[in-house]
Amino acid sequence: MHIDRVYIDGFKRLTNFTVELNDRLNIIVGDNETGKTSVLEAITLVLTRQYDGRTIDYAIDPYIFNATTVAEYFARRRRNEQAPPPRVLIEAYFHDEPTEPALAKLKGGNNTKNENCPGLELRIDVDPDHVESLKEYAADNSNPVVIPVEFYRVTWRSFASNGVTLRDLPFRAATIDTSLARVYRGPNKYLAQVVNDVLTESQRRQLSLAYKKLRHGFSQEPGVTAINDHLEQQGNRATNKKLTIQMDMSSRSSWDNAITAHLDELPFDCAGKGEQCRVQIRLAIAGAEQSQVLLIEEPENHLSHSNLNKLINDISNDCADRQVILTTHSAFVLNKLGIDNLRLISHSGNTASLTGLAPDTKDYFMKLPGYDTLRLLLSKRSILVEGPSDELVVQRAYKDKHGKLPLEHGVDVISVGALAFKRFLEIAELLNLDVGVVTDNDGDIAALQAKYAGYLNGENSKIRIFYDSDKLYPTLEPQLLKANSRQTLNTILGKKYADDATLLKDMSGNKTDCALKMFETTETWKTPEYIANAIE
Amino acid sequence: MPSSENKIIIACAGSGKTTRLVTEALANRDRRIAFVTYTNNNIREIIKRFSELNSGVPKHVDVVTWFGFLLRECARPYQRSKYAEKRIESLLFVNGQSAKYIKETDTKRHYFANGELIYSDKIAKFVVECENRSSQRVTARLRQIYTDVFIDEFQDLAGWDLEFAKMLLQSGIRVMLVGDPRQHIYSTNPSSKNKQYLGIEIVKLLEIWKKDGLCTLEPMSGTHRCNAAICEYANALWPGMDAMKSLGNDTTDHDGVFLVAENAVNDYIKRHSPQVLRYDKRAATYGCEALNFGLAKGLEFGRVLIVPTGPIKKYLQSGTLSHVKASRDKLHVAVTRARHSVAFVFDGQSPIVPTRFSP
Repeated sequence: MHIDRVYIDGFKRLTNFTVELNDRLNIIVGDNETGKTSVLEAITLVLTRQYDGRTIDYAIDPYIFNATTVAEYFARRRRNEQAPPPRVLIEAYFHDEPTEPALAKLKGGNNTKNENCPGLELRIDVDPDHVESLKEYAADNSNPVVIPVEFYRVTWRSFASNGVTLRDLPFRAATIDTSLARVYRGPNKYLAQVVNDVLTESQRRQLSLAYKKLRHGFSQEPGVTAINDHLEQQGNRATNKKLTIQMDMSSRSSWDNAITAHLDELPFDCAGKGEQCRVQIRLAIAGAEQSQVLLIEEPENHLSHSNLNKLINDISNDCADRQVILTTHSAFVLNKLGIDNLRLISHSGNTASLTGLAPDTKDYFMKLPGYDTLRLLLSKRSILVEGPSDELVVQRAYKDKHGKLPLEHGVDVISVGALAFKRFLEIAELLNLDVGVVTDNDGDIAALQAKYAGYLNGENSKIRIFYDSDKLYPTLEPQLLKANSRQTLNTILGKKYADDATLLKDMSGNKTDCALKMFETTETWKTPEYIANAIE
Repeated sequence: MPSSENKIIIACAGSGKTTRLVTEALANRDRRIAFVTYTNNNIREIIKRFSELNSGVPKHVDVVTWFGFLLRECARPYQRSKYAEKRIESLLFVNGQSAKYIKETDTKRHYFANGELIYSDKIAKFVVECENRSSQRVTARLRQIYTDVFIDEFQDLAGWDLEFAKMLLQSGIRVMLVGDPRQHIYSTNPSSKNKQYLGIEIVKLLEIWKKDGLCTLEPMSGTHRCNAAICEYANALWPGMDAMKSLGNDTTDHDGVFLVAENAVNDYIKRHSPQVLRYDKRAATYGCEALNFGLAKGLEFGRVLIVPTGPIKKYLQSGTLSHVKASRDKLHVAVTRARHSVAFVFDGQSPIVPTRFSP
C-alpha cells in the first residue's frame, strides 16, 4: 500500500494544495511557514483521524482552518452576503493494487480529482444542523473573527463514500515526531505508541492477558488472602456483603497504565532525547506490520551528526519496501537520503520534485552530503560562487548597489566550488530556479563556454552565467585589480605595493584575508563588471 | 463471457439451504464472499449458523443486508457518474412506488427524497445506471473485493433488483442465488419493471438466464422438516414445480393434514398444542399466541393450526387452485412450517383434506 498523492484544502495555510508522492522515500522540504509540518499533520489526520496525538473530534481548534478563508467568510457574512462556510478537506489517493481486496473496499470515485482509486477523505465541516447558527454567528459584528468549532463535525470516509473506522483500514501509519514542540501527554504515551506501531494484534492481546493474570494472582497471594479474611470479619460492621480488596480488573486499569518501556534498565523517558528519537524511529522501522506508512518529522532534531548519520543509514537500508514521508531542515539529510526524493513546497503553495535528475548527480550529493543544496532550493534567487572570497566580494558589491545584504532580499550567495556548479545547475534547471553563476574564466574562455554550453544563451531557463571574457584576468583578484587602481587596493588592504605583480601575488596568496578586507572596508571600490551584472 | 459457475438453487422449505450456503462458505476459505440476505432476521439466522459450525463468521465472509450491500458497495462508490450533487446519505424505505409522477430525467427527484435519501425501490435501478455510465466500474470494484456473492432468499427480488442480479451474473464474480419461489412474501421492489416475473413467475426468468448461459439451475427438493402428507398437500399448490420430498421418517400419533371443526378447536389445542398461524391480525386466535403467516417464514414447529381466510376456505372446499391465486405463497409458507401435522379450522367437507379431527 502506498499513497500516490494527497490533496489538502483549507487546512492551516494549505489551500487547494496537492503533493505527489512516490512509493518509497519522500523528503518534504520547504522554507519556514510554507506548511511542511502541516502536510505531515494532514497526512496523519487523513490516515488515522488523529491530530496532535488525539482523535481530531476532540481536538478541533479554530486555527486548523485556513485563516484567509475564515477572514473572508466573516467579512462576506458581515456584508450580509452568502458565502460557503470554511471547511477542511484532506484526501489521500492510494495506489490501486488489484490484489488487495481490503484496499478495494476503499475504492470509488468520490474525490475532488474524480479519480477511480482507493482513498480516504477527512472532512471538518459545519454540521448541517448548525449551518444557520454559524451564518448568524459570523454575521454578528460583536463576535470575534474565530471559527466557532462547536458548530463543526468530523467525517471520515473512503472514496466509496462509506464511513470508515481504523479497523477497516488494511494498513497503519506511524508518526514519529522528534521535535520538542509537542509535549507528550502522560508518561506512557511513548509506550502506547510503540505498542500501536510495533506489536501485532495478537501480541497486544497476549500482553493484556498476561497482565490480567498477574493482577488476578495478586489476590491469591497468602499475604493478601490473610488481609481479606481479616477484612471479611471486620467488614461485617459496615456491610452485610463480603468485603475484600482486589486489583482493579476493570478496563480502566489496563496494562498500558502500569507498564513502561526501559532502555538498559532505565525508564525510557529518562534516556537522552537523542537516544529516544533514534529508538523510536528504529522501532517504527522494524514495526511488525509491513504495510505501514512511516511519517517522520525532522529526524535531525536532538541528534548529533554521527547519530544522525546512523539513523539515515537505518532509514535508507530498512525502509526500502515501504513508503516514508519525511520533513527536514537539513541539507545533510536531504543529500544523504537522495536529493531525487525531494518534494519542494514553495511559499505560493506549489510543489515540485526532481524527476529526471541524473543518477550520478544524486550519487554526487549522497557522497558529498555537506553541500548546502537546501539553500539553493529555498532562496528566491541564488548566486553561486567559487569560494568564500568570491562570496564576500559579491555580498559587498550587492550591498553597495542595493543598500542591503543580499539575504535580506531573499538572495543567497552560496559558495559551491567550480566542480559542483553543474550539479547545482542541474537541480536549478529541473526546478526552474532563479540562479546566477559567478565564475572565473581561468584563462580558457573556450573551455568555460564548452562547460556551460547549455546555459549561455539563457533562453530556456532562469540560469545565467557571469564571467569576464578577457583571459588575461583569469580569477577574482586580477579582476578586482582590473576594475580598481593599485592605489585603491593598497589603501583597502593596508599595503604599499609599488607594482601590480607583487600586489596580485599577495592577494592571491591570502585570498580570504584580502576578500574580508574588501568586504569590511569603508573605502569605496568598483565592482568588476561580470559581478556587477550578476547583482543587477 | 457469462460465467457458467453461477448457480441458482431452488430450495424447498426445510431443505437446509442456509446450512448449505454456510457450509459452502466455510469450505472455500481461499475465496472472499459477500453473503447477502434480505432481512435482519435472516442475518441473525446466518450468523447463528456460522457460530454453530465455525464459532463465528470467518474473515473471508461478509454477512450484509441486501440494501446495505446495494448502498455501500454498489450505489455510493460511483454515484457521481449518475448524481454528484449530494452524497447519498441513506435509504428511504417506501411501500409501493416512490415519486411516481417524476420523470427519470429528473435524477434528483426521481431517485431521491431530499436529494440525499435514495428510494428503496429505485436503488437497484440507480446502481445499474451507475454501472453503465461508469464503464462497468461498479462490478470491476466488486470483483477486486469479492470472488463470490451469495444471495439468500432470491424469491424476494423483484423489479430492478432482478436487473441488478443479472448484472452480477454477468460480472465475472461467482454468484450463487438461493431461494424458494413458492415462499415469496416480501418484495424488495414494487416497481413495474419485470412485474411479469413476480412471485412464482420468477422461475420463468431463471429459465431464460439458464438458456442464455448465465447460470445453472439446481433443485434442492428434499425436506428435512415436513412429512410426506404435508409435502403432498404443499405440492398440490404448485403443479409444474419440482415436488418436495420428505427426507424425515420419525412418526407421532398424529401425523398429516387435518380439518378441525370450529367447536372442536379448544379440544384440539389442548390435545396437540399446535402453533396457531393466521393470515393477519383480523383472524380469531382461540386464546393462543398466534403468528402471522409472513412472520412465520424461516421458523419451524412440530404442529401448526391454520386459521384460514375466505379464499383458503374456498380452496379447501373445492380443491380449485384459482381461489388462492393471491395467497398461495403465504399458505405454502404456513403449511410447510410443520414437521408432523397441519390442521385447518374448517367446518365443511374438503376433497383435498379428507381427515377430520374428532375429539
